[in-house]
Amino acid sequence: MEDGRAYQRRFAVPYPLANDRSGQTWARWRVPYQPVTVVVDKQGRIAKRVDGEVDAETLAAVLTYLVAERG
Amino acid sequence: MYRDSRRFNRPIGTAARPGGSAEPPDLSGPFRLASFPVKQRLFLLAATVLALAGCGGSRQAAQEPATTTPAPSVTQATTPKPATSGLAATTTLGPPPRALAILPAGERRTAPDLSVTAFDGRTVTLGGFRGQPVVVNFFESW
Repeated sequence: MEDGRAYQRRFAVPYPLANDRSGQTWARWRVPYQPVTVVVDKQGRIAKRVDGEVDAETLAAVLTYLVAERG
Repeated sequence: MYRDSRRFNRPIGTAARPGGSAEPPDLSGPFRLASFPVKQRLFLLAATVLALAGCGGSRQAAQEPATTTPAPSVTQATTPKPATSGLAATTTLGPPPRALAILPAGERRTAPDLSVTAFDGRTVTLGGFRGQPVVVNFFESW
């Protein structure tokens, strides 16, 4: 927990950050390897999933599209 | 079919050992989390309000629920406009550009539950971000 806080401070992470110590969340989201990035739409549905690195430009474009969708 | 894949997933050298002493770990499940080094499994959530703070798209998101604005539609299959670069600027939202590999709305499935205690002590749930796109990133740090 303290490590996590230090990490968040060090990299100035503005969004919520947590440690899935039990691995339950990883299992529920079917994440066997890291990194995995899942983008959820306004209605809580998975719109995109990237197994592996994702670049910021792509992510920004995806989010821009999803923001423009109707909720 | 499933049984076959189980056989393929068996670690090399563990198949049919006559009189093998220790039972090899079962790695045939859908996940093999336990076999990975559990250092710090971190994942983070970014509400698009945060992620798009610098993109100028958040203002539009805030106005989305208002019924006065013409609501963009993704289900306009009748006139599939070739999606150009100006996505958020158009009033009618076409299908997602193929390059972005976004699932069409009709093919999306509900995300699993998510409820975690963040490092700041707050409980974060996916449902708490309803009405906003959310990025869930799983990564390890060590």
